[in-house]
Parts: sequence; C-alpha cells; structure tokens
Amino acid sequence: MDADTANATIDPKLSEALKHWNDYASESGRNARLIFEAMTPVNDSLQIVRQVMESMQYGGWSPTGMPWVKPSVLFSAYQELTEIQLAAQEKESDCYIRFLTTTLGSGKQVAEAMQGASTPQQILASYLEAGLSIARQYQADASEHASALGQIRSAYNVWLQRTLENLGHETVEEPTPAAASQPAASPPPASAAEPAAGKDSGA
Amino acid sequence: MLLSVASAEAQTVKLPACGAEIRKTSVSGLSSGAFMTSQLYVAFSEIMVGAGIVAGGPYLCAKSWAGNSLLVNATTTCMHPLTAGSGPNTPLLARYAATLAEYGQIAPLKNLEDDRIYIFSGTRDEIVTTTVVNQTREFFKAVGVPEASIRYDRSIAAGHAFLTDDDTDTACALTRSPYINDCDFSQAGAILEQIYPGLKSPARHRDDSLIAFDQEEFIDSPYTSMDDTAYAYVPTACRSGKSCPVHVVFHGCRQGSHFIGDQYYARTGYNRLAEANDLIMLYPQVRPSSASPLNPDGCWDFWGYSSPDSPTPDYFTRNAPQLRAIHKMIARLAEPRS
Repeated sequence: MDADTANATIDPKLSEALKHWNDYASESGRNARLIFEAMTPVNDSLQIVRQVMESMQYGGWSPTGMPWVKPSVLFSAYQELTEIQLAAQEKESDCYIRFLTTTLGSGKQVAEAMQGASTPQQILASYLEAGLSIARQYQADASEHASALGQIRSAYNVWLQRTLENLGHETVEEPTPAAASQPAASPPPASAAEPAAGKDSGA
Repeated sequence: MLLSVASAEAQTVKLPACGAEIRKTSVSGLSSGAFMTSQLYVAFSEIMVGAGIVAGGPYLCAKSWAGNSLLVNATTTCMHPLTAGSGPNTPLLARYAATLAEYGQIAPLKNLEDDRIYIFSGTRDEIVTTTVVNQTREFFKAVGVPEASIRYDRSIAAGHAFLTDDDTDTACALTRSPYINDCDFSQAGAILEQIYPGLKSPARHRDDSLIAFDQEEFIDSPYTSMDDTAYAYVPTACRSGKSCPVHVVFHGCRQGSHFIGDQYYARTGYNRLAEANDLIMLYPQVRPSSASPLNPDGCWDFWGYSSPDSPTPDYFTRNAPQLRAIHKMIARLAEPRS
C-alpha cells in the first residue's frame, strides 16, 4: 500500500452495496439450512407407508385379484392424466418464461443502474446492487419453479392413488371425480375426550 | 394505541377469568389460521356457534392423499393444487371426520348442524386458491351444516389477505406482508355478523380493554411453536359482570406479533365490534421456530409440525397440543370471576 491508497476512503454507496451482499449471503445460508431441515425423507416415507397401508386396509382393496380391465375407469384415468400433463406443461412454460424474462432484462438493469455513477467505486457499487437485484430475481424464479415441480409431483401421486383405488373397487361402478377409499381411521387414543359442556362433546 | 400496547407488553398478566358464555364461542382466521379455525371449530364443536374461514381449506386437508406426505399435501393439495382433481379429497375427509367423532377424538358432528359459517376466497388469491376454499364449503355441507347457514363470498378481487376498510392498509388485489388489505370491506364485520346476526355498529376501541397475557401457562408441549405472550380484548361490559361470548381470532403465517406487531390483533376491526357488542376477542399467537419444531414462518399447525418425531402426528383432535392450549384459554375466560 502506498501513500495514496493508504488514505483512500470507501464510498458509502460501495460500503452499503457490500453490506447488502453480505446480508444476502447470510440470508441464503439460513434459507439453505431451513430447506435442509425440512427434508425428512425417513419420516415422510414412514408416514406415507402407514397412510397407504391404512388406506388399503379400510378401503378393502388389494393389488391381487383386482379386475384391472375396467374401460370406464381407464378412460377416466387417461382423461385426468391428460389434464395433469397439460397443466404441468403450462406451469413449466410459465417458469421458463420467467427465467428468460429475468435474463433478458438483466443487461438493461445493470446498464441503467450504472448510469450516473461518476467514480470507479460508485460504478462498482451500482454494479453490485444491480447484480444483487438480479440474483434475488433468479432466486424468486427458482423458488417458483420448485413450487411448480412440487405441485406437478403431487398431482401425479394423486392421479396414481385415485386410479389404483378406482380399479380396485370390488363393485363395478362409475367412479366419482373425488372417489376414495374408506378413511384411514386410528383406534381411539389412551386419553378420553373432555366432559361435555353445552352441546354434546362425545364423552 | 401503540404506547398502550407497549405498556401492555411490559405488563403481561394472567389471562383473567371473565365468566364468559362458553356455549356461544366462535372462531375465525386467515390462511394457516383458517385451517386452525376449522380444526378448533370441529374438534370442540360442543361449545361453538360458528366459524369464519378466510382463505383456508377443509378440516383434515393435509390427510387428503395417502401417497403424499402431510407436508406435501399441505403445501400443494391444500394451497394451490395443479388441477381441481388434485385438490382436497373432501369425501374422504368427511368420512374421516365422522370416524374421529365416532371414536370420541372430536366432538360429534351433529353439533355443527345449527351453526353459522362464513367462508371467503379472494379471486386474486394465488396462495390458497378458490379451488381449495370451494372444498371447505363442500366439507361443511358433507358433515351436515345446512347450505343456508353457510355464507361463501367469492365476490372480491382480493389477494391473499384479511380485508378491511382502512385506506392505510395494502391495496386490495395484492399479496404481501402484512397480508391485511384495504378492500373497502370490513371482513371482521362480515364474519361476526354471520355468526352473531344483528350486531351493532362498531364502537370506539378502548386501549384499556386490550391486554397482553401469559400464553405459556396454557402450553404443555415443547413443540407448539406458540409464543410466550398472547392478546385478548375484553370489553368494558365483560369486565364489569356481563357474561360475554368469546371469539377466537387466528392470525396467518408471518402475521403473529413477532412479525407485524399489533397489526392483526389491534387493527383488523375486530375490537371495535367487540366493544360495541360485548364480545371477548382472544388472539392466540405463534412465533417462528427454526428447529424442532420447524416453523420458520410462524404458521398454525395444519400438517403436523407440532409432533416432529411422529409419523402420525396429531394436530387435529381434541388432544392436539395447540388445540389443547387454546381450549384451556377459552375455559379460563369462562371461569367465574373471583
């Protein structure tokens, strides 16, 4: 460091831009930790296995001996699958458009941000702030895409469950759009319900 | 008002016994608070006369589809399903509710038959879509609530928010914090009028009626994510000997006092109606939690986070941790004055 740089001061805007990036990094770290903690594959698998077994038990259906060829059920299943496919494609398309919009606008955003900057530090500050804004936009786009993928996956799971249940019904009947097995009810817990007050509490 | 609330927070008191008329209790809420509304209302229907569900899905919604985890159902099926067919499985939920009632885990569903319900969905709400809220109405019809007793309003182009007629609130169609929108419409008024017909016009809010109380004494589980302090508005008449009904108000995610201060419990219009009509308002609070339970947005539990290590969490019966706590608060308000 020479005599000139020893006395150089940091432009307040650059200092602020650096702080904003630091805050963003901290925030991203926290969000990543939360996402990691939300992922509980073992617990989720146990939950789903139990739910499916209860559903099969109370629904009175099993994979063996099922009359798999039911034209009305298959037709309804294909219809619903088509609906899901079309909706999924529309969602994916919307997400890609969002990404493209962010990308196409990023260059202009940076150029506009740097207008009016008169010193190298101010130019750098403007560039950093614009870059942060673009990063946040991409992050929002990614979150939206992740949400859309979750919706699509859930919809396919629902379709599969409903189709299997409809195929597994013993009686040959036209399935209703929301037809499902008997509820997965649990036996009563050890603790009893509270005493009645007013209307019937069920005690 | 802010000074009064600051003073109230500095002086957290014990929730008082007010001799409340417990058999005329009601409940309302937004978003996760709306899901919680259905849970409290159905589980303890023996003391309830009505409910107000704003942007919320049917009771037990997260149990709709066995092939999805509760969390996946809660965040997709119960909020914004890809298609109507992948939305809440209402026939299953109604049958499940009947089974729970049969086993005594919730109150008998016949208690709901003479109640009055308000349901709302904003047409610009993309967080909990109208597709989902439609199923809330279908659920209540399926469990025996007469259609004439349900007021379902889908007429307002509102975002995901609680609606007011305060022009300092967020614009009607938007969805952003604090999720309290000015749509020139008093949603608190609409809810309470539906539940308790013939209400008087709002009166002036009285600062000395709003109390901050120790919520911790009602909590017996470490995983409820409920805050140490909650709030109640006890009108003058209810403190002076009158036996008043209790209305429980549930905030939505990111709307507890930790996030938005007093905006939900002091500025959504409920308290002015409470003062005019001698209703006690109870505002339980949830705070964010980043680990065990994982609830970073401070939501009410409608998918099972309050039982973090259980593959079959109970968040929906009379024994659920959050519901137990709130019922104890209502019971405290109903205790005779000492």
